[in-house]
Amino acid sequence: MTLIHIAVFIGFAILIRLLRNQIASAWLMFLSSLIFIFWLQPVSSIRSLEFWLPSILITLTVLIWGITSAREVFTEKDNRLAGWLALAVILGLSGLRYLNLGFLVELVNPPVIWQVIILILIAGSLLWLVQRSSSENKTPASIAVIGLIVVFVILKYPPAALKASQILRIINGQSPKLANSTEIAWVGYSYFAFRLIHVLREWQQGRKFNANLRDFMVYVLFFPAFIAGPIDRLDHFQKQLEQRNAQPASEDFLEGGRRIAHGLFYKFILADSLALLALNPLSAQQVRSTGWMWVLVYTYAFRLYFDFSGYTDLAIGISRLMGIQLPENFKQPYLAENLTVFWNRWHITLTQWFRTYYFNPVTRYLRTRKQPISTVWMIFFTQVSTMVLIALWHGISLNFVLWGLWNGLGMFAHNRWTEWRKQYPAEPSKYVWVVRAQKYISIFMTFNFIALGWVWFALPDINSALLVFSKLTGGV
Amino acid sequence: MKSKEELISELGQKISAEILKQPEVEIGADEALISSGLIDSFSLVDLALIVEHLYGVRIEDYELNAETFDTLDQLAGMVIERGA
Repeated sequence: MTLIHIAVFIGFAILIRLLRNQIASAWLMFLSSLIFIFWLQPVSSIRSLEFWLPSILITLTVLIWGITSAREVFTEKDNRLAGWLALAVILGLSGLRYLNLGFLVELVNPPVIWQVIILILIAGSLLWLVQRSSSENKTPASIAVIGLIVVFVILKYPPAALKASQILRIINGQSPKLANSTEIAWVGYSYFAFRLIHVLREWQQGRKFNANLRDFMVYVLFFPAFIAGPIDRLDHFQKQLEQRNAQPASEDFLEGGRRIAHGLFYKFILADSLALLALNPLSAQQVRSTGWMWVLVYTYAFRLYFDFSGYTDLAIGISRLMGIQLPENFKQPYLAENLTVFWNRWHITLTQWFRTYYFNPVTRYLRTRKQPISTVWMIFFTQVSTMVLIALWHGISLNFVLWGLWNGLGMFAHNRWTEWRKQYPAEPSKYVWVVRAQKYISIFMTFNFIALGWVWFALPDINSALLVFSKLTGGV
Repeated sequence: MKSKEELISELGQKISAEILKQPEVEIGADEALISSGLIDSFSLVDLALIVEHLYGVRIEDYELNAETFDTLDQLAGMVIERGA
């Protein structure tokens, strides 16, 4: 999000909150989310990709709503209106091609209209099939979950992304030789997938959300949280939509404004200044002194925190202007006294997502299978694999695998240590200063373990990371 | 059918003995179990299995968090609601 995005989002959020007519306000929230996702998608060197990607997100959202809804609600008035409006947004934006509106056309770059009509016909037929299928049938939901993950892997695995880019270029009549693995930058896709997998998996387990199409689309494509979360849950978000006028507008504006000011300060002042000094592939090579290398590593840790938590403050603050309270994502993580607590306080909604849809089912399976494995092995396997998966979500490459292992093994070691300590129960020291010192030492050690782990995260090249570790310990 | 008080006391004893492995520990009905870190994420699945085994009530993977239940009182309430 740039400052212009933030300013426009704030304006719309205030307008949505101030509209007296509740129905008009809900539809404005819906339409602004649908249109803003086109604006957030950056212009690509693959022709019209910035039009296709958001259009596909809208189409998939409608389809997955259909899969997880009772078939008889398809024809309800509000759901039909939401469907027609979504169609109107896609067709309306593709019509920009034929109007002389300067910068707007460049922003969206719609393709020729018949291509858009093909997309709509495909989506329409799929929706028709979904409507005719039984709502007891879980297969379409399984296909959707697998499809969402496959696309994710293609986007995050550079060789696959390169291949996809070459194919898209050939289809478009552009030179495949110019393809690169970073040109399909699908803004918001991973958070989009997280939200939809959450709905699909719980629906498969028998949960009924009963969201209408409008609210469902606002949940999935909600503009403040579209790029980088927090990842809300549909049931929580629905409650927020229902109660969004429960507090007086002045209270929402005050609290929202406070969070936005905090976020701007964190992201654009603290994080952006620290970025000048933070560890990066170039400074990893150039800096020679041990002391300076520690400064770079610590600065990186704080820059990352201020950047991401500042971004989260902006998302939470802008939604709060509309009366919607998104879940928190950071709770003073660098003051955590151990790694487990750190991961309960850093990117909270992401770790909760992995706990719910990976860790819990796998632990349950391992606990209930006929040939049980030992508790220690189970803890080792589930903890390390969860952290590696979280790491791979950032990108499918070796440096992220190592970062995941670093955290997973660290947490496993901490778990064993805590278990071992239970054999020697000790009363807390009667001296306050001893208790305090123990606490500060724990915070210091946890922070350093995390900060050193970020070295793998910051540097895609393993040799650079090893060089940094060598310099940190006094080597050259 | 058991009363809520009976469930709270039974669940409290099970948690102390089988999850914390410290049977002498007494857990209050309104004491935070998950948000306080008393029950870690591995043991949370064990707790779900214990409840399922004792009362035949299933707690889904997406319900194993402090928002759904965080105290013995809330857990016992869930068990009763689902027909123990």
